[in-house]
Amino acid sequence: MGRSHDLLTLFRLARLHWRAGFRKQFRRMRSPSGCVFGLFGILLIIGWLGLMVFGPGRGDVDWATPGEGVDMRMFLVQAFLAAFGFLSLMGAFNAKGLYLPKSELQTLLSAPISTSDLVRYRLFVDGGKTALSGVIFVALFWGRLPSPGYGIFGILLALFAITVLGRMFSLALGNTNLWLGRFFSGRALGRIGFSIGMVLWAAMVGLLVSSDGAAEFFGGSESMSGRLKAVAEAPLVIALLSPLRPFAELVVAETALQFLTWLAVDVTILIVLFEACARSAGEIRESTLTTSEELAKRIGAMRKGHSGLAALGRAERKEGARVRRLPRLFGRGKLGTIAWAQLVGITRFSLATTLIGFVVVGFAVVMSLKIGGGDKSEVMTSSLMITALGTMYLAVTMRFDFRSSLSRMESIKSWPVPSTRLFFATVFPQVLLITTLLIAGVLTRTVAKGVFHPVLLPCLALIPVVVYAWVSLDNAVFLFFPVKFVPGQDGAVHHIGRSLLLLVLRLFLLSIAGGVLAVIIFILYWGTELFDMDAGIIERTVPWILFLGILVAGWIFTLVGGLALRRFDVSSPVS
Amino acid sequence: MEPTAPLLSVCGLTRRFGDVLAVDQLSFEVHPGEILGLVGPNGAGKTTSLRTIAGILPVQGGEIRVAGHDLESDPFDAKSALAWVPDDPQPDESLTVLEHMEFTAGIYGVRDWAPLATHLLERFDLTAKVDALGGELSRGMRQKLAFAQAWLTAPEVLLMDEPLSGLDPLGIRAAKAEIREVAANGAAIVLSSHLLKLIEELADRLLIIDSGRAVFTGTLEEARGSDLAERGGSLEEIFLRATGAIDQDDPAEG
Repeated sequence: MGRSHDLLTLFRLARLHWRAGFRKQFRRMRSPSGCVFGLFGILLIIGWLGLMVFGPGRGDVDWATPGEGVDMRMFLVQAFLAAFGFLSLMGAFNAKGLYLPKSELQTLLSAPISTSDLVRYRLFVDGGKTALSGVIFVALFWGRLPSPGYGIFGILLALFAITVLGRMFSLALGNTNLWLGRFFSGRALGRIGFSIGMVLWAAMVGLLVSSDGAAEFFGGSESMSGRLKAVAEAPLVIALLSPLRPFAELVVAETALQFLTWLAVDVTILIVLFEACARSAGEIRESTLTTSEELAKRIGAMRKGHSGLAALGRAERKEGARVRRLPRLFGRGKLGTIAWAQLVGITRFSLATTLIGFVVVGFAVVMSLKIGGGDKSEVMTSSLMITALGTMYLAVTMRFDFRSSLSRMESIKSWPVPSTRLFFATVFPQVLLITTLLIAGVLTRTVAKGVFHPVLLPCLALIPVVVYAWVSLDNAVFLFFPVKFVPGQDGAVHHIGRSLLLLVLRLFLLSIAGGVLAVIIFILYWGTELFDMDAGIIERTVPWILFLGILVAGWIFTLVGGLALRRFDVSSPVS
Repeated sequence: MEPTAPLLSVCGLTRRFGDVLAVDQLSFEVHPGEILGLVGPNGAGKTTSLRTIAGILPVQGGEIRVAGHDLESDPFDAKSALAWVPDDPQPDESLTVLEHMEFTAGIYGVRDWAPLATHLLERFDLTAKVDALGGELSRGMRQKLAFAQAWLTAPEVLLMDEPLSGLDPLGIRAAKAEIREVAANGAAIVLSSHLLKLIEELADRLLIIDSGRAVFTGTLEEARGSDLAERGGSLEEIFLRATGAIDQDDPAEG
């Protein structure tokens, strides 16, 4: 173990970081707008936690009557902890060795501090973060535990122990003294963790939506409780979950004696794990440097506006790797050049793009399969569902628009191109991509259902204009209020409040456009009634009104976006 | 004697950020083939002035004419005649070095760009990096790429903010020669830098600004002959006296 004053200095550093975080948060709330955003953010967080504590679903689990043969409450707690543990272990693939923030990396590695003390310091920082995220779990479980006062200790201790285990795993992966570390040395592990997660996600969605498959998997039981009981009784599941039993016992403790006994056991386990983790560090300097630099690159990419997945793709790209040339699909003019450059960005980091596309559209398609068969209203509803879900999520996650161009705004604003055209050319490739994915999604659903209805054609024709209207509105609002929120950024409460208010603003503007269209359609309907005209005229005209109306809305949002781009002040800090 | 019309004319440029007056009634002209050295302490308003002239920040007060085009009423012709090399160029992370040249050619309407681009990349020592992505370039490489992109457009007015940051000694020497050549070909150049030696070496005229205002405009010789320096004084001495960092009446401090 290192000298005690080394560790104390590191703890002081952690304390200063925490204090600085709170100070930044309060500074942001000094201005009137900052205060409103901050208070709105606090209200949202309190509301969310309150919904978990007092909201619906509290009585879903009957704690008083455990299932026959197997204690279901114990199983559910163990299953929850196992899920958290799995995520922690998958996270270790992304952080071989130790992660140190950019500001501390060189200083701490060059300082006369033992590796074990460095690990202890990071574990305490992790512990603080776990305690914060533990608040969410405590809120989630508060009304569902037999004795919440005892249970929350169990949850917090278990979460911390799992975090320590995850850290042990990441240290082993990064320890070049061990065969595991040597084996994984120089390999990009982020994709391994991500791929495993993807497979499990797909399996989970598949089981959730496919009643037949799920029933078979769960031993023929149709009810949710029956399925869970079948899983809980499987010997393999019992064996896999057994290491979590001491923590689950503390979580569901009902008497003071049970609580104190299991508390002593769990604290002992935690201390042993903590020290074992600190002492097992070994030679982790190289992996720590690599991990910290890669994560810093990823955070940097996210701060530049790229999505988390795209940032992972950018951080993992090998320097000097071959690139494919993309032909000038949109012509050689100024607009074609801008759109081509955007499309190059999309295709060059296509792995992340494809994954995001498949996950979002796949989910929307799977959900839409729940909607009936192939009659007119069902085709329209399912197409609308895929389009609405897909557009909103893909626009936010892909970010091949002005969000990823923020660091280059100085250069962009010096180009001799009118701002409205520049705005259009920048967002167009993303619209094209999302439209392609959504049309593929709607067609996949049609093929899966095996029924074609003619109303599908106008539905497909509406997709590009809907996507364009939303993406242009989204970007116009973004350029007026360029808010970026990156994990770990200071002033989180402020950002949550502001982001939510800006989303409300976008939806409000969209609803104005929708309202105007509704009024036009109502007037048409009223006119046909008044003049006793053929009712079929509405059926023939409404799709055109919708198409042209949304197109006009998209055009107006483009003009607003051009104005926002002209007003964009590169000298103002973006936060 | 100034036989030709100025390529860049700035008259009464004023820029505020809230209550802060960043640039205050700044006026100057740059003629074809001339290099104007823009110097001033940190926060004097150099970058703000250059960004406004480049059309990045809106003109709040005053008039800017680039190659005869008014920046406010005719921004696209004005911008087409102008190239901007920022102090920390941020290339597109997805495009290769060669694609950056292709992109610049497309935006500025440069025809038959490929041979010129290849030649420029060679001159700026970027041939080995043609397939590297923008996000993979070092600070110095990014700077060289920004030069090559600016040169590709054959600008009539060239604005450069700390252009030699991040360059190695060889790169600095090459860049200085390139800047001289562009000026010799008739471009008007505004060069902002804290490297007074560079300004002394390259600039034909000086513009010293402090707190957004011009405190001296003229040639280095004129400055040396003024109150700002003892005869034969260095640019450093002139700069320090002009910005009030040392007392004009105190020759001992100079």
